[in-house]
Amino acid sequence: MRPSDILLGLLLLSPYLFTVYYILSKFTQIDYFTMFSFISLVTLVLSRYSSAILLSLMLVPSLICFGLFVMGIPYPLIGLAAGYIMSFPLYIILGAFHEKKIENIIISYLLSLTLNISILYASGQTTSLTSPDIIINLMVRIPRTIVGGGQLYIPPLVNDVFTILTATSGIALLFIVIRRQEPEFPRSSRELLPLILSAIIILLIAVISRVWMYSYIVIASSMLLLLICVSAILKIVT
Amino acid sequence: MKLTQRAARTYQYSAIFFAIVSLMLFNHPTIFLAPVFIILTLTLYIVKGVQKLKKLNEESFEVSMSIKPNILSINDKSRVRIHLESKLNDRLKIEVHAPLSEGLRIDSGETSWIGRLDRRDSIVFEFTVKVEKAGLLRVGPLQIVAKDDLELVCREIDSRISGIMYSFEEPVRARGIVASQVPVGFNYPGYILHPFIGVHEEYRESIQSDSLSLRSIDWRRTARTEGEEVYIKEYSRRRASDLIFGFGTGLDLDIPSFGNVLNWITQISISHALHYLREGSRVWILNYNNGKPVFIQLKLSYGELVSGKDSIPSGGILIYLSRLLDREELNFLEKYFENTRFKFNLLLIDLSDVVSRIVEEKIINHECERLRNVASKIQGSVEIVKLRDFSISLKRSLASK
Repeated sequence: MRPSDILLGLLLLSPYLFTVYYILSKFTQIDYFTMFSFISLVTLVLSRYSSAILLSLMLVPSLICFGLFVMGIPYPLIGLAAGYIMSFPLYIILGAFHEKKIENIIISYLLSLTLNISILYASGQTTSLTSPDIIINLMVRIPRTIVGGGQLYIPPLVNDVFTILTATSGIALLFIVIRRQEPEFPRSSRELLPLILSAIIILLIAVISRVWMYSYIVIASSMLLLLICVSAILKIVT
Repeated sequence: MKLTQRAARTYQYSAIFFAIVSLMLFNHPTIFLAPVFIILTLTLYIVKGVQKLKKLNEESFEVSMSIKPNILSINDKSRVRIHLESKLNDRLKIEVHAPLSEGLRIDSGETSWIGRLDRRDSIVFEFTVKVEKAGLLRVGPLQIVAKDDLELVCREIDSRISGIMYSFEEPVRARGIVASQVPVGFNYPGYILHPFIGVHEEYRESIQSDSLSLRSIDWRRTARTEGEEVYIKEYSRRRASDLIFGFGTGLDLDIPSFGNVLNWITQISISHALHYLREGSRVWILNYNNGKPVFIQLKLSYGELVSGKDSIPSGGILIYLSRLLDREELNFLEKYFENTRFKFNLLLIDLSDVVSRIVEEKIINHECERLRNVASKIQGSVEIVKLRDFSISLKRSLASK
């Protein structure tokens, strides 16, 4: 794998990784079951669905937790479920990464983005978090707010960081998709022109619709330029 | 020029996502802007791709196709080789597809090639087809689809390149290119090397007319057989000429023991043409299809039929086979060939001998009367031919000078 591919992969996953970091940072005490199930699901997809991983890291712990649930100890099963929910957007995007059809990658990305933002909303409803809170917020409070026409809340700083990371992730997605068709992309600066142009148009839309604060537009533009520069440097180096 | 399935799907998915999620569920800017960004970028790359493909035309590629062998019988296999060369300075993603006509089945390889064609580069791909039907079969015309680098937009380029092959019902021996000496054995009168002829026309004529000159006998060769067979110094002559086989109206029908009459007649006609014509001869097939004539040119080269350029000959022999059901048919022919130097030979096909058991006598009589009336109105060489005698009449037409 080329360094540029690793960089693009990290940029693509950055909003998801940020969401996970944000949720875990809000946990008052570490929930090992949540951690374990999160790692097991990500490991499963990274190991290309190895049956050994499936059996040892997923089926056996799930059966044990279910057994404990039946015996009247529900928290391990809830922790496990919360971990799976947290890792699900990552699972989708990693699973779609090896898809040959680019339209499938794009729809998977958009779907995982929706799930990711739902999880972020679920974590933003309370000051501190536990595993049951994630599930209750996601299953009950958010649907109720959407149906009731209420406003979902994310802390402003978190929102801005997440937005910027999503913007860079979107650009990385298109880089990856284009490179899937054209491994030598970009061969010249002219090939980047449509991408840069659309990024600028989107920024203008963002300005007009006031979805971003002006200071963050500068940051976002810098990120875009940084990305292009890094890509160009990697191209020259490799 | 049109969008590829990939681009269309990406548009659909992004638009549906935008409509459902962005507008109905969440009003977060990322959810709103992400599909817009994807759609916008896609559109800009499509515009770029359109600019690239706009300059493509038929002359951007040089295409050739060879089929070997292309005279064969049912269940035989033939190898098709397609060569495509780019004359462009850009590199493109290309899809080449060779459609097979009914009666041809792919045996090995693939009829399509998908890949990248660098500038001034060429590709060759081969496949084998199996023949399942007798008659004139076609590979092509080739379909070339050029795509941009991201495969978002594509353009179909018309290619007239196609390959012709001809298959017989029964296996036949390969036809020699050079005319060979004709053995005339009294024990097997009229037998010659070529399987289509059976009783050789020239031999038969010579026997009937008793004009066999002593000087034409190959005495040396005859002596080697101790008088059991007599060899004459005749050659099975083949003519190098331009020939049009016209297939008119009223033949495309099925008759027991003959099958489709048009197919049967086509098969017989081409079989005989292959024997009688010399190397370099050109054969056109004129299909009068509801007043819209379709020409296919075939050229006899190294014992094979090759598809020639779409041109109409200025002279030669026109053997037109029809029942003349369309009143405008003759007018069309006269108009079409008025400025050409063609020897016109019309064979009016009479099906009465083969349909007598299944059609009432009154109808048969009416048909015979109609054919006679039509024939009487035509100035020039016209002959009413019963289907069972068609083969002999055709030989006569081909051999006549």
